[in-house]
Amino acid sequence: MKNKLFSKLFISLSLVVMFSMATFNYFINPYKVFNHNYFSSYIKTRDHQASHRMTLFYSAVYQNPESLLIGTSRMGILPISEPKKYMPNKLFNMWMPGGTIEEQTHLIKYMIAKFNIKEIVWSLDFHSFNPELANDPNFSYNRVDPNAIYKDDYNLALFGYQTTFNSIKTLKDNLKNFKLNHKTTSKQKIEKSLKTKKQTVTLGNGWDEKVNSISNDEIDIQTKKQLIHYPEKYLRYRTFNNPKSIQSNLTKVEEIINICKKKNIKLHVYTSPVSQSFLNLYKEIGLQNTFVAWKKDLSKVTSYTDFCTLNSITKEKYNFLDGSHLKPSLGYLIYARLFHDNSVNIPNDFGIFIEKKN
Amino acid sequence: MLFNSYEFIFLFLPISFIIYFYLTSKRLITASKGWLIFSSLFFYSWWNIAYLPLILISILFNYSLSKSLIEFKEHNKNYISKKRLLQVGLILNISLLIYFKYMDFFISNTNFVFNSEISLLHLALPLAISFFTLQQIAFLIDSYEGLVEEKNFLDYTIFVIFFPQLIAGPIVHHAEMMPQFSSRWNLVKNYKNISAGLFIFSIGLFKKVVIADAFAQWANLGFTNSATLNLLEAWAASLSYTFQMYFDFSGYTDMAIGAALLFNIKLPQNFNSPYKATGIIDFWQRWHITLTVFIKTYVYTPILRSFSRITFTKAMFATFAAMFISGLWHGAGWNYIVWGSLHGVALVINHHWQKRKIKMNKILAWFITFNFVNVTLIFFKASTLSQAMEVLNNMITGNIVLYHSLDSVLSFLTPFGVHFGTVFTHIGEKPKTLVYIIIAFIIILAFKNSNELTEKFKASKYSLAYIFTLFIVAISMLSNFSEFLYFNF
Repeated sequence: MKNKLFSKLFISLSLVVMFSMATFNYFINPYKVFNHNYFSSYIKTRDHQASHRMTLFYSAVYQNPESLLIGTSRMGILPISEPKKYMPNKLFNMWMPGGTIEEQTHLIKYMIAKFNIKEIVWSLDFHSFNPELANDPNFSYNRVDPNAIYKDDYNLALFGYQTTFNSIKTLKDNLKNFKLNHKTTSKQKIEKSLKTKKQTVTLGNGWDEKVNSISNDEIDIQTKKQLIHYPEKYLRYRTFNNPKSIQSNLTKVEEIINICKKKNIKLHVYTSPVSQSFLNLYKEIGLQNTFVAWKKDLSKVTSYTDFCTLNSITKEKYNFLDGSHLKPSLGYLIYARLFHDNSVNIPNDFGIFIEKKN
Repeated sequence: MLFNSYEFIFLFLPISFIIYFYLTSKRLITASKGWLIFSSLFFYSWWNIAYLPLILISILFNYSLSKSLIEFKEHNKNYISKKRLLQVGLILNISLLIYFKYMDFFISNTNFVFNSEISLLHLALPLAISFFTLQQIAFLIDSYEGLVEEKNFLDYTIFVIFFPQLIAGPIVHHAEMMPQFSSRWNLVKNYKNISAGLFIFSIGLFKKVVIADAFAQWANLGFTNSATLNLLEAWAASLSYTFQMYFDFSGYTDMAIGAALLFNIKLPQNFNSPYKATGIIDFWQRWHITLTVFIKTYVYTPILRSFSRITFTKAMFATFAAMFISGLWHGAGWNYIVWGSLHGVALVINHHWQKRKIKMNKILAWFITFNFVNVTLIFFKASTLSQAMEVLNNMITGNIVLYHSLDSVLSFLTPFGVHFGTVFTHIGEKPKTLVYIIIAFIIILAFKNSNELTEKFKASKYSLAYIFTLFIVAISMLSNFSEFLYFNF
């Protein structure tokens, strides 16, 4: 083979493969990175994400939200229908599993800079203040930098074998649904739809509704697992037992408080509830002083509602899925407390308002 | 801009190539060189345009100085001697490097020794400063020695800033580069070079994206969790870094050589299967060859020449000093100094062995050399000396944990401190680490290296299928691209 033919064949073949891959991925759009509606009547579900953070970010951006819920999975698990009662204007739940304060504050700053945000509910977890807790590998500073030209997500969403596989999977899922809707009798449709509903009806937040009917035995197993896994992943670091270690993250929280004040954004801050076994865990592994300092120092920065106490809800371990995530069915209590809804019967000791100390 | 990015492969490189050869085909030679300089400056500025003036000033200053050195005529009216002129140039170049690269290191050590509280400068290291400073120092010295003939400003600028070698080498010498830029033979599209360039570029891309980046995640996790690694994890982490370093850096070099070949420029070979080395002298003749040549020519030899009478002991002192400086060149940290010094000591020992004609079994020699390189690279990777010691300590005294599945067969080992559980928990819980390590050993020991393959390259349907596969696999794994290790130096 001549070198000229070799070079031309190599370049043309490579371009054909890359162009086909990019076109296919662009139209299927498995990560919802592109804001288009081509084939919207065929492709309705996109369940194969590259990362939760990326898809969540673009979903939020294309919704142009006015109200935000920010927090970790402890907030993510709560159904969005509850806060929607109090914040009806374009509400978006921007929860990030294991999100650090660094990640959360960058995201809030971005959303405030780019959109007309009027109200924010911010759920704070104790462990997020651990200064040694690393950002999720899928978090990107450039993505949440309002001034950056960020192209990595577009590259990821257009090219790559993983994206192509996810596009194929997305296409397959939707073809199944399409067949279900077009090639079955009405009776079959109802039966299949009921079957499907049992498996996939969600709370609109990515969590399966079946978590509400979790058995107590399963809760015991999950709590036991979490009590081993959680401290290893989030708490056991070299400096977190020093109460001063939380200061750097508190400063970041304070920065957000000031931005919200300046921009006249209504901000509701609360500490997320954890079960008694988790409150005891902090003592057992020598974090009690940091935990106490966290709440005390937080009150120097902002007023907040404290759910992370020993109270009627946290004393009952079966109110939690695994000791650290409140059951979604109880989420309404948090929002009712935050929005002073007197029509809801909330235990008196659940959610104590802590006023900012100057 | 990274070589392993879509914008480089599908936009920057093709556009630079097409316009360059369009200009040469129209016989606009100066414009084509100007275009190459412009595209290289664009490539450099992609990261941070703030450092563009620095490299431009450095080029202008060194070019003017070298021109003065070349044209210097000794007579009484000179205000400054030729030697003093060279010294000024060297001091300014080295000061620039010290200021940006070593200032914080000196300040923190001064603070430690004198218990002072001088604030650190926290300067960002200008990209490629270590490389373009070295190349220009060599040019100045050779201008002083009368070894430089080419003095065209455009050729000099391209020699310094030519984008394939700008960021992380190979460290090129003006004598092998500038004639290539001025040669008219190189101004015509050469499909033999283009196909060979595409061939080696694809191999490099595959090495970087598929192999090095896989090892990177395990090495990074291992060094982050250095204190808690078990024995197997510690070995897996250190070997992962050793392989990452080779496949990353040699992959980068292959891409640089490939990209340069498209423009008919032949960059020097930088790696020659270094992990096949059977001695540390042999290793340095195979690893980062262009740096070894530079250090030998411009550090080792001048040190040696400074002695009135050369003896073996003095030569060994010069060897150690050269490696010490090489360690310091790699980074401002005690870990790099320890790494360089350990290699210095090993080279001295190796020279002693050679002098005494001590022969060693080849397999044993390879085993010792490879493990020495592996262990010393721990200092290279670690962010602190204590982290390096933690990894090393766990490689010797860490808990021995074997897979659950071996429990029934090897349970008799329990009284000897052997545990059964998940082996690679702290480096990502991926059993494939082990598979990758075995494959990497096979590649480095049993396969020809990319230069050997390129030398024997012939355009055929088989070679097309081979590199097309490598390229497409690498390209489809590019999405999470990462920087090259040597970008930090």
